[in-house]
Amino acid sequence: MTRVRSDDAALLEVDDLRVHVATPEGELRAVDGLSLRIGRGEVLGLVGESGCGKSLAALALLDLVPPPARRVGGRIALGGVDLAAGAGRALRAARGRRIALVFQDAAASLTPTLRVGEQLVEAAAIGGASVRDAAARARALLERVGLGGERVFGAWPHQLSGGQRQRALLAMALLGEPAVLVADEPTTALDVTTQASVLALLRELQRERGLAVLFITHDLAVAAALCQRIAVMYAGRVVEEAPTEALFAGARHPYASALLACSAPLDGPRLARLPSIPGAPPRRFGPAVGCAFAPRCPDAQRRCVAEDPPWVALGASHAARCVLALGAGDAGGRRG
Amino acid sequence: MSIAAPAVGGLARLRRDPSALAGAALLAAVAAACTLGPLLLGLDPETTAPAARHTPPGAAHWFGTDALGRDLLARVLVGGRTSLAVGLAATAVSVAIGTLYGAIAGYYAGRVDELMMRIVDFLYGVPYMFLVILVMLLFSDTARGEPLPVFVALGLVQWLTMARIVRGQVLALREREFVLAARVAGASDARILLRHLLPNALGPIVVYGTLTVPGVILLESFLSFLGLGVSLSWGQLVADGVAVVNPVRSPWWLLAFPSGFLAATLLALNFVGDALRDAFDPRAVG
Amino acid sequence: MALPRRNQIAGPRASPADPTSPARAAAAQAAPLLAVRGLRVAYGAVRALDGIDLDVARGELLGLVGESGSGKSTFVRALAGLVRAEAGSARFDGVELLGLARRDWRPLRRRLQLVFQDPGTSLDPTLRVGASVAEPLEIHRLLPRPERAARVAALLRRVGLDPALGSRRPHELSGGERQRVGLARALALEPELLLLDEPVSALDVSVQAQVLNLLADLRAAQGFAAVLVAHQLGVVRHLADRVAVLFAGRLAEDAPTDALFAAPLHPYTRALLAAAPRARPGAPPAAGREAPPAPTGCAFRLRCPLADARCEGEVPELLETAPGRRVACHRVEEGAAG
Repeated sequence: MTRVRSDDAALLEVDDLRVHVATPEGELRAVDGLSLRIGRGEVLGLVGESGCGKSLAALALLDLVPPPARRVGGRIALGGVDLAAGAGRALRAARGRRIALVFQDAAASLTPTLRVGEQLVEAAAIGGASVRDAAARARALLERVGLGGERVFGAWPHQLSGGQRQRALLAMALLGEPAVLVADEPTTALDVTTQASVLALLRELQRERGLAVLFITHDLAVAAALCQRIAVMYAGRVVEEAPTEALFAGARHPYASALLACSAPLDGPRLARLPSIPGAPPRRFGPAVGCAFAPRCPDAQRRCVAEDPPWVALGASHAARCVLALGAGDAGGRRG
Repeated sequence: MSIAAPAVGGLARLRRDPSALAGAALLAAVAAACTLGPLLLGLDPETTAPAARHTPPGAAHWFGTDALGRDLLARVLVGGRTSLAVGLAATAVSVAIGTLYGAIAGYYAGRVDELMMRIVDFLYGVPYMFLVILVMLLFSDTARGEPLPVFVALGLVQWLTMARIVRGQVLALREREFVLAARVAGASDARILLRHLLPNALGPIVVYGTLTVPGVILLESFLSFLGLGVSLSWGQLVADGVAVVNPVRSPWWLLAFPSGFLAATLLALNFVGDALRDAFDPRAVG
Repeated sequence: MALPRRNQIAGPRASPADPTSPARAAAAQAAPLLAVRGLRVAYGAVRALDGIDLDVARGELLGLVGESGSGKSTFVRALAGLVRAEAGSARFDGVELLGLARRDWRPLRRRLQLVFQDPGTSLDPTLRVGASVAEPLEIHRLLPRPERAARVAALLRRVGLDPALGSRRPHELSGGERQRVGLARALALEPELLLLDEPVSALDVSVQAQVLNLLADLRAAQGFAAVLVAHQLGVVRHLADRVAVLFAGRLAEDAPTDALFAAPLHPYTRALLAAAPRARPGAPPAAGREAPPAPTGCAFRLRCPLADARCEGEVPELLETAPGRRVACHRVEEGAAG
């Protein structure tokens, strides 16, 4: 198997992750063979539109996939040890301690009937620490995320602003000293100004703790602000993965480049029309035959529909799942 | 009126629910037997036969006979007609009143809602049996034993919960954007209520309506037991059966068959109602 | 009529440099389609809008930006009669909208329509989408029944949908298709003013672009004026002729789009632009101070890098700094922010 980055020091390795959803129309392949590598201290952006499977993939990493969805296969290795084997017991054991999760909806992630401080102390005490130690650590972390002082510690969740709640959640996620942080659209519900400060905080925390972060977002611009590498996901699979600069300089998968082009820019000339992608993302039920993007792709060829697109390495850490990339890169390296 | 879109998936789920299917099949069988049975079998519930009194179940009388020698099968089937009719009619009355009342309270909200719901609270506080008996007594002596006062009395008691349910639904729906969109388009109150709010509240109305039917049948039986009900109904038959059953030499069939039919019907209705509730539950995936 | 898409500015304070339509600008100057003065809205003790003065000219697209709680959605909802205004005036082609009796609203509904943010909740789930599009026509008895079906088909086609979709229910359509249906419903009455409340925020980026292009096409074809509420600055910049920035229920700044993005004046506008993530690496959004709006003086002062004593004591007034540009900031007025 060829990897984009044959980095054996990768902290989190996800291979061929599959999550299916039972629907009246059949088994929906929401995550259909997802493979990712995240190194120590690295921030990987997982970018895609709604329904591409990115959130279910995140939940699968913590064995939190809700029915009727379920994880049906794949390897999730932390430090070389597969945690996905054995019905996910190892994943659940790692949850909150070695892998932590921050959701988009901070208001729903905090228990409304407990004060913020109580929730943090409770989370800190789970490892068996004494209440005094737990309280001290909770206070220290709240201080670190910019919520120091009694006011926030003793506040009810509804008394905090959206940004404060997201900060409190970050503090709670970090209490278990995780090696990997999975952040699922953590700033999407926030105003841009608040988003900017939460992103800045996330970047600081990541650097000072050497956290590996899987940052999930629908917004390429937000990913660009934070991530070293970006994986673009479409219909349950990664279609392109590249260092952030390389992706923005020259995305090779037609979906990735269209996604880059279609948001209205904040500077430069105002466009008469925005480049857009016709149609809507598919829902795939059967085994994938051909490229999932082919029906919307302006450059689709006959073979795009007939055969699975190859995973083409295009240089250091850059690869795309597209026949059009073939001429440019080393052919045929396939993954997943 | 077309069925709500979520209901389409709901009905599909319903077909896969074995207890709902069994309940619906049993209900259909009971209803068919009650409506057609006496005709097909050529039975009459009022023909007395003093020689054949208290005959145990057998070839001549499948369910046996009562103290006057009347065929119990005929009486159970004809009594079932009354019980089912009372159940459906009283439920229809309660659904009509409750839906209208609840929809108006929920739609106009504010002070109107406050007043209307206080009235409901007050009526809730009055012991319902007292209310029913009061209504029954208002009808003249000649009308007693006829089904109409029973329908009205039971319907008047049962609409309270329906009003609360519909009011809650409408209150939640009226701020939804599709209702605001209708207002922006210039729709009248009546149009918003009839075309947008009620169709969207239909699921809970159907579910609660279905669950009201067994409650009403039971209540009617209770009234009959007290001597206030309709002359020939399951409740009346059970009451008669209890009166003559004794530990020594007991015509057990007089109690067993009517109460068996009553229990099976109530159970079937509850199965269907529960399945409908699951099917219309917005949290269910579909 | 195909109006030129860009540079088409026709505000009451339109730039005199506008070369494309001086006659149009002059006409608009005389009588704006919508003139809002001193609009106040309160939800209980919370003041959502605290005195808004804004004009929208015929055919003009006004962008309205601000963060959640700034009152931008309240503004369009108050204009659509969905939220009761506490004080102020909003004249639509000379007719006062605020406090209008329901009966008198009816004819105006045809001329002023609202499109909601979430196409998933703004269509009645129990109705086929064709029936939703037909509803405004029914209410206003615009067409005899047999002609309605053809009109609905034409409307669906105009928003880029196959008329066959009219027999589907909302849950069978994608988000983008539903928002197109929402647009078709709003356009059924051929309004002169379209209020767009975050029309693309709930859509995926690739679908957003489709709907934004459609909006531009429809506007070019039908020439309606619009108020576009959005929290995405890129969306507003793409479509708007003029942009108004709201902060805590008051106007912070109001300017022609290109001028605003080229040289934002109000410190809040600057913070907003600096914080917006750019679709390129190496340009991280700038985080500013976080604080709730100040209860006295300038509401932005607790987050403002330029705030001084005057900002604490005195609410800044919206002043015209250049033709077509208004700013509410003491420090800009004093020249400190230049």
